[in-house]
Amino acid sequence: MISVNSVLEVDLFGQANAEFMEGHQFSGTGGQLDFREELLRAAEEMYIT
Amino acid sequence: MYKSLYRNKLTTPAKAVERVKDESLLIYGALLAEPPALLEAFAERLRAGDLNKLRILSSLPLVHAPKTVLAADLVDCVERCSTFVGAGDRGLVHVGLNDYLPNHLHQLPKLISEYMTVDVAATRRCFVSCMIIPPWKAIRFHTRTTLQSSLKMTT
Repeated sequence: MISVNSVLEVDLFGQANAEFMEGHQFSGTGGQLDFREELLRAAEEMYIT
Repeated sequence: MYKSLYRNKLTTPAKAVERVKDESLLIYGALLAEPPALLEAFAERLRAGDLNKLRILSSLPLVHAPKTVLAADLVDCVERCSTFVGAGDRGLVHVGLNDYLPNHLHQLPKLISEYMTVDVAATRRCFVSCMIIPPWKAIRFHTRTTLQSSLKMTT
């Protein structure tokens, strides 16, 4: 199973930005970390943030 | 028994918000739990000058809050802070009229119960919101924690 969460930007190091756009707050940190933490607990899981 | 208790507690939105005092901290239900009639009643009191100051913590305000308590004409009397920015408050955050409190969703119940004194919690029953998958669970807990915190205040 592959889980995918949405982001606004991602770089080649895998760093993701999901809340800031064109110099302004667009959304919020929200559940980004929660989503990753849950998936890290699932051993067989592949995830793309 | 419960039906008569329920009937006894039924009131109008205007009556329900009548007892809220100036400087109160209001937290209202997020997303589908946004209570349109109560938010409208708060906005009416603010516009009438019956209430001079209200503090509001929002979490992704959608349709009703931006049209009522978070409306631009109430900027002077509503101190607003959002825990998640959406279409309803993005413009206000952008120009500095609405604060944004960075947080992880799972931290919201802790932030509310340990760092805030909630005076008023407004929500509405919404069965659909109870079926939404995580991370929205945190928003459900946020609403529940808010209600519990405000209950602590009244007891």
